[in-house]
Amino acid sequence: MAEGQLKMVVSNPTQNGTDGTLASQVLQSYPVNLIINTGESNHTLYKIALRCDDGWQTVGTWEVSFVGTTSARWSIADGVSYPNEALAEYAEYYPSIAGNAVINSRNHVLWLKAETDGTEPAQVDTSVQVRVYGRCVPSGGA
Amino acid sequence: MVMDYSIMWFGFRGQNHALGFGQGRFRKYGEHLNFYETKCNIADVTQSLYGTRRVVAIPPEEPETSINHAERMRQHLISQFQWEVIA
Repeated sequence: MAEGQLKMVVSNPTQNGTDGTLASQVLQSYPVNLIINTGESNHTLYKIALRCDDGWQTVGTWEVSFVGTTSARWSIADGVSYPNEALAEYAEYYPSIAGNAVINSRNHVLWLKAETDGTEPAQVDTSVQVRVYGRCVPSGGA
Repeated sequence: MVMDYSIMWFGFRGQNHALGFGQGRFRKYGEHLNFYETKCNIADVTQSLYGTRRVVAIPPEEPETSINHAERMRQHLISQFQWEVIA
């Protein structure tokens, strides 16, 4: 992974922290891994964060969206005001998110929501990928 | 920020001597040269894809309570007894 890129962090990252684990982009690694119970309309929330390497920051708009066959079952919310899952239930979720807040080497938390409508059969769905897009410059240059 | 250098000071301050020729010609007395600071971000574009694994699972059935189990057994025994009496 190139230095200075905007990266995704998993493993329960905290807002403005440097904790969590950098997610792997290796095919078949599935850093976002969650379980939803079928039988009724249901969803599961999953906390991620974005951050840059030390000495880098975003400039302009960054985006997070979903690509893949069942991407309609995924949505995302900004998590700055929602530090835990109970509060994140009240966040507003969108098919994608674009932000102008500068993201530096500290976590910017986002919540992913994966849904099922209750009619889906039990299955393992790996058709969707989280797309993270942004532009980075060395800190102090923007 | 805009820096306003006046050629009026030409001859008094050494650095303005050069500024007088800043845009390729000598400036007349009283003419102003404006210099504007610029910033150009040459940014690395990042686009990355991360895999997801959404497991849609059938929730486990809740285990039967012992009271329900005892009641069901009782009903079963009653029904068996009645059958034998009738037979």
